[in-house]
This record gives sequence, structure tokens and C-alpha cells, in this order.
Amino acid sequence: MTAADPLAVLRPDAPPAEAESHAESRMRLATAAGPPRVPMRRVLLTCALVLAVETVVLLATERSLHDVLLPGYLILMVAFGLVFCLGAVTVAGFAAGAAAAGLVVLEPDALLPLLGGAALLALGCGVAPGWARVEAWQAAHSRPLTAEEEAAVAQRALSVDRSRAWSRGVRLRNYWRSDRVLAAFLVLAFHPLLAAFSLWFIDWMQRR
Amino acid sequence: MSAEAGHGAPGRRLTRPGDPSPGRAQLDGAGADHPGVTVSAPRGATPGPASRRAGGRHAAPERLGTVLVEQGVLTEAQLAEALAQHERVGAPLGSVVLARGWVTRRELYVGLAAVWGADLAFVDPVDVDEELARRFPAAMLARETWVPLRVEEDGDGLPQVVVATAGRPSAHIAEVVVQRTGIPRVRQVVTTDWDVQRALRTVWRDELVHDAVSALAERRPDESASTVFVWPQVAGAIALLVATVTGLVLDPSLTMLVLVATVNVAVALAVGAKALISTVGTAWETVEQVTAAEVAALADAELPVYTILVPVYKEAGIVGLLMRNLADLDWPREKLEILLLLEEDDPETLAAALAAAPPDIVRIVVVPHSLPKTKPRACNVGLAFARGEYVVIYDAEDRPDADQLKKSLIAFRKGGDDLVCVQAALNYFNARENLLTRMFTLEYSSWFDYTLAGLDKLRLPIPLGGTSNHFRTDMLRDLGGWDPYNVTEDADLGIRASARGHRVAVVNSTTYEEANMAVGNWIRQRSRWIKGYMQTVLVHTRHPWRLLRSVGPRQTAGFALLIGGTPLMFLAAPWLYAMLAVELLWPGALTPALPGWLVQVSLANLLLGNGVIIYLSLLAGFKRRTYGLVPFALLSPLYWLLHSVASYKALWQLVVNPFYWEKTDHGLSSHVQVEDVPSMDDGPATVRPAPAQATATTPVARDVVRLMAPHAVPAPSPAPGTSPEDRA
Repeated sequence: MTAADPLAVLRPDAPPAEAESHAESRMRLATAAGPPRVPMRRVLLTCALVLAVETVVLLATERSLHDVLLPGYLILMVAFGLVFCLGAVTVAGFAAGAAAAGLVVLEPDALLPLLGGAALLALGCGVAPGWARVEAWQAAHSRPLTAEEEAAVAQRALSVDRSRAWSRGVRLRNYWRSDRVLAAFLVLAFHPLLAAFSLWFIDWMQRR
Repeated sequence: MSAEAGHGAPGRRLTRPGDPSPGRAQLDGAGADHPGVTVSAPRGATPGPASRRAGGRHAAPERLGTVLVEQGVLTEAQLAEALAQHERVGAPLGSVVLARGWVTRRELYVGLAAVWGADLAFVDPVDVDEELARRFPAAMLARETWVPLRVEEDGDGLPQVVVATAGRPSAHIAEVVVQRTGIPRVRQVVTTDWDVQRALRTVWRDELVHDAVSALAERRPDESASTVFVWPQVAGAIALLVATVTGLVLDPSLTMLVLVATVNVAVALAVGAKALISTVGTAWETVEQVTAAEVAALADAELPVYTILVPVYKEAGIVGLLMRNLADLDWPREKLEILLLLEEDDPETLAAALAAAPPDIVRIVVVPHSLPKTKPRACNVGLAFARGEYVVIYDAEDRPDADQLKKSLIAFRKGGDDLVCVQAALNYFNARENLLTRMFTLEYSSWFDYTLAGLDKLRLPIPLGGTSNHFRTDMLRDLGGWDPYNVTEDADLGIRASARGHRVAVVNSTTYEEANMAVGNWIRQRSRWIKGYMQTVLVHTRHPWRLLRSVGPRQTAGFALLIGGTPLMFLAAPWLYAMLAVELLWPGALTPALPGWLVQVSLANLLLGNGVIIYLSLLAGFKRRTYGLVPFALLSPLYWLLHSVASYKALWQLVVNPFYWEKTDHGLSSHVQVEDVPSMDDGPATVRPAPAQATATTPVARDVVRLMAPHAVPAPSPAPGTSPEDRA
């Protein structure tokens, strides 16, 4: 008997053999891929090194603190934004958002471009295979009581061999999740928005 | 169900006469060659065990099986299957046939009595001599499943003590009886474990209740919330109040500055600590403490008996659902003991439980009425009857992950000897039912998925969640069980365990609960939780230096900021909002009372605090990929204002009614109002449960049956190979 399609919905009247095959296929599928493992220690060390070099160079050229901090925040934002988007590491979104907030404090006019960048990055999260892998892993390791549909989408995403899928044309529907995009945008945009609001509020209170 | 050692499986210790702690029932007839059950022992002497008959590894189970077949209660095919299962899972044969519903408890014990060569008696509690009973502690009897019945004269006119045991008659029991009564002759008759339990509940009722309510308060009064405020705390509060009033009279500005600054610092530290701890937890969101491969590698034969305590009060509607939820657990039924803890004044739930006709692995324990009527009190009673090596608490509506018991077992094995408890994550199955359930789910996800994980990684004290805390039973007993006076007994126990040098860890398994979906119900529940946190802080700060010495400064700070800071944040929030409102409506109105910078700091604190709360809620949806909930995180400040309402109610109750248990209504969700609730026997399980027709336990048979007096019980058939003289 050929292996059951793990992505298909099991018929209610399926015979036991088919149900068993289906269950095995799903288990195999779910356990085949783990979540992407990003070497965070290496990322942190690299960032620290780049920041240190950048700080030393700029201070040596007698730049202001503003000029030193600005590229620093930018480096952090880009690095952790990429880790968040490609590696599906939630805490990296926290760091990227915090760096973006630092940029807003330094350059309040940068808010809109930053929000645009956050939106682009969030769109990236919508199609990034890493997120689908984490979701599939999560679905396989947790009883999908509240999110059967999420698990189903995640499982579907895993079914496609990635290299072939991409070479045949991006099958966005296998990876895309609108709710993921919105959630990622909120995580990335929250800090700069909060910083901008705080600056506006303080200014408004003082001007009253 | 009594299921314990003595089954002859590899790696398991045989319990034999003379063993120091044989106390639990053996349901496979092991030791059937015991010479007799009337034991004459000189004072303090221990009768030696008889030599074990060489009959192969499974001689005893096979003998019990033969007896059951001879008695016509088991077929040959069933016996063969049961023996195979006994071999596979390492559970006593009696447990196997009981779990499959092939025999009733009474039939099994008739067979066991025959194998053991002992008389069988069905114990009526009125037959127990109360004066004799007082010589034996209930906790010991509950653990060892036997009770003393009376003193009678034997054939020679000499006094002898009659005891009824649900296990094999043993020299250990005889020795205990001799030690406590001074009467050297002991006659041991066999009875069912239910009879023992009923006798204990009836005759030892006062002692059981007393132990459940007062044991901790008597043994370690400093660790009990039975005294709400100790005098140094009262004196400190009065001194603070007097100083504040005096300060307001003498120098209002300075006093307000000190007060507001103190509150701000405390709130900032509490929020900061929560953010830090949760962020640390976030970094481990895809780390598994126990992997699926480790679970798969577990053999059923090496699994211990696990006890599940399910305290239920006025929840008749969801008792049936409990059976379905627990049916999914991947654990051999023969090694599972489920104690359904019902209250004496709740006949509706008792009737519903009986009507659900739970299988034999479920025991209904009716907890005698007493005050305070709290869940921990019921759990303490359950703990007295628990026979598992590990014990876990579930609520009736809980849906634990199927592999949770196995993961917890592995976590215990990996965690070291000081690991007393493993906490599984809680989450909600009705997250999308309404706005409140969404907010509640976000909060719970943040707490259990990130905050507790952060506490675990930072090795800080972990306040346990309401259910799904798995304990080593013996260590839990050593800790004194739950504090019945603390309305968040779980959080208190986690802190108490840390203070006593034990450790609590988290495990990557989830129990799904029902999120509170009504505001009033939510406030009741939350006010109890916050009141419990306040109680816990009051208890564990009675001796701050002792706490500091025992757990260290980092852990003390973590405890103070998380457990103490949480109610403080909620209590302070309305005042900070009030300052914001005043400043917005009447700019500068606060300046005469407070320095401008402090007003700015307070508003910034409020803004940042809310920012942190929103952000943690934003992240909360990520671990479980419930992105749909994430936008609702923006409403967290409103949700946290509800906490403030609950916290003031909690504060009021702490003073006027500290032990009152605000009951949370369960079963309101449409997710738990199912039309057809299958029994445990229908659920998927590693070990296929009993066929429906074999679930012989009916409500009548279970609890309404009139127990027979010993003399009215027909003598069992002689055990094969046992001479009449051997049977007393």
C-alpha cells in the first residue's frame, strides 16, 4: 500500500489500515523537520564585535555620540530583524524593535521609513520558510486544540520539498500566513511607535 | 485500584513477608505461600517470612489467574491476554484484569483471598472498634491499606487483634499491631481497598480532616497561612501608617514625595523583573526539556504507579468530561490511580460521578466536611490515600497532553534528587470564545510559556500553577502537603519547596483548561489568586533573613518582585492612572503636592509599564503560533485594569475573610458542553482499555452497596496447594 498523503484530510469512514498509515505519515512529516536553529551566541558576538569596531572608529574620528549611536542602532535593527524574519526567533523581534525605538529617539523623522521597513520585514515573515517550519514543529509537539487550522496550514507548508518548490516557482500559499504578517508587524513596530508616542507626549505636556 | 510491587517483573522489588514497607495491596497473589494469616508474635518480634515456593517468575500471577478461571470469573483467553499484558507493562495481574473490567473488585479479592489462604471480609465501618482504631494513625493505614477491626478471643481463649488488609497478609502488619496494642496474636483477613478506604473515611474521619487542615499549621506554623498577620507584620503596618499620617500632618510634600517615589520604584522594579524574566524565557521557546524520542524510549514495564488527584466541587456537569480527557493519557491503565475528590456537602456532583460509572482505576473519595473548605484541604485528603510514586493535580475540565505523565517522569529522572515538582504549561482550549478568553489566553501564554521558563532558566523560585503540577509523592508529604489556609496553595507550595532547598522545574507539555469567559467569574477567580499571592508574601516574609539565608539574595529578590510585585502593580495602577487623569485635565494641579519631575517619572512609569505589558502579550502569541490573538495584546492595559479591581477586592478579603475560597464556575464554555461524553474506556490509550460490556462497576455496585459483616461472608474456596490448616 502506498503511504497516505499526510496533508489530506482523513476520511471519517477510513478503514483502520488507512488511518494508521495516515497517522504514520503525519508523524513522519512532523518529525522530519525541526525548527531552524540560529546560532544566537554567534550572532550576538558578531554584533558586539561590529559595534565595538564601529564605535571605536567613529569616536576616533571625533564624531558625536549621536553619530556613533545611529549606525549602531541600525546595525542591531538589521541584524536582529533578519534573525527574526529568517530564523523565526521571537526574541530577536524584541531586539530589532528596541533598536528601531532607539533610532526614533535619535531621529524622530525616521518613524515612517522605519514603519515601512517593519512592514517589509513582516511581509518577509509571511513567506519565510523558517516560520512554517517552526509552526509545523510546534503543531507536532502540541495538541492542536485551539488551532487545528493553524496546524493544518503548518503541516501543508512542510509537505513541499523546499529546493524543488522554490525552483518551480515560489508557492507562496504553502508558507504565507496573513495573521503571522500582522503579528510580526506589531512586534517590530511597537517599540518605535511607543518611542514616538512618548516623545510626542512629553513634548505636548511641556508645550501646554 | 491497588497496584504495586510484587508482580515478579524484571527490575521490580518483590514485597514479601517481613519487608519493612510492604503496605500496599498486591494484586497478583505474590507470596501466596504465606503459611497462614493468624500470626503469633512475641512482643516486638517479627515473624519470619516463609520460603518462597519455586514456581517460576509468574507462579503467583498464574495461580491467581487459575483461581479466577476456576471461579468462573475469567476465561482462559482473558487470562492469557492478561498475563501477556502483565508481562508487558509489569503491573500486577489483578490490576490488569481490574483495569480491563474483566472482574469486579469483589471477585478479584475473593480470588486473592483464596490465593493468600486468608479469610475474606467485607468491612462495615460500624464493625470497627473505635478505641482500637485510635491507636493507629490514619495516614499510615491509608498508605498501607489496612485497618484494625476489633479484639476477639481465639480458639484458645486468648485475645487476638483482627485486621482487614487490602494487601497480602504480612508480618509487617502483625509487627505494627503488636507494637501498638501489645497483643501478640494478630488475625489478618482480606478485604477490598474500597472497604479500607470507606472505613478510614468513616472511623478515622476526624483525624483525616484534622491532618488535612492542621498538619502544616501544627508542624510548621511559620509556613502556614492559618495566621494571616504575625505580630511583627502588624506592628510594622501600624508603624508605617502612623509615620505616614504624622508625615502628612507635619510635611505633606515630603511625605507624598516619599510615598509616590517608593511606589514608582517598586512598580518599575516589578515590571522590569517580569520583563527580564520573560525575555529570558523567550529565548528558550523551542527548547524541549523532554524530547519525543525520550518519551518513546520509555518502556511500560519501568513506569511507576501515578496518582491523579481531581478535586471537584459543585461541578456535576463536567465530571463525565473528565473521564474523556484523562482517557487520552498515555500511561498503562494498570498503573494509574485517579482519585476523584468530592465534598461531602455536594451530593449532586457525587451523583453525577456515580452516574458516569467510571472505571475501576477511578476512586471516588468523599472529603468530610470541615472548614476552611478549600481545594488544598481536599488535596491533602487525597494525598493521604495516594499510592502512586508520583502525584499530579488536574481540574475536572483539564485536557492534558497525552504524553504529559511520561514527560514529567523523564523530567524527574533528569532533574536530580532535589527536584520535587514539575510544572506543565497551562493554556486554554476556548481561547477564541470572547474577548476575555482571548486576553486570558494571552496572559497565560506569557506566564507559562515565557515567565515560568525564564524562572526555570534563572533558577528562581517558581510559583506553581493551579493544576498540572507533578510531585514526587514522598517529598510532597515531607513538605507537609498543601496549605489549606492559602487560597493559592500551589504558588505557596512552589515557594515553600524552594525555601526548603528543593527545586521546581517546568516541562514542555501542556494542559488545556477552560478560560474564564464571564467578567464576574473572572474577578472572583482573580481576586482569589491575588489574595493568595498576598498570603504567600506574608507567610514567606515573616523571617526575611531566614529566607535570604535559605534561598539566597537573587532568589529572594525574584520572589519579592514577582510574587510581591504583582499585587503591588495592580494596586498601584489606579493611582498612577489617577495622576495621569489629573495632569491631563488640570495641568499643574499636582505640582503643589509633588515635584514636577516626580509627576513626569510617574507618568513615564505608567507608560513604560503598559508598554512592557503590551509587549509581553504581543510575544505571548508566538510560541504557540496563535497569531490571531496577538492584535488583542494592544488591549492589555484595559485588561490589567480589571486586575486592579480584583486586587482591591483581594485586599479587602485578606483583612475580613482571608480563607474564603472564591469558587470559580467551570463548564461555562461551549467547548465543554458536549452531548455525548464517552467513558474512559472509549479513549485512545496505549493500553487498550476494557471492552464496554466488561465495565462492571455500576453506581450501585460502587458506593451504595451494603457492606457485609465478616461473619456473613461465605468462606472462599481453598487456594490450590494450601491445606485447610494453613488457612486460619
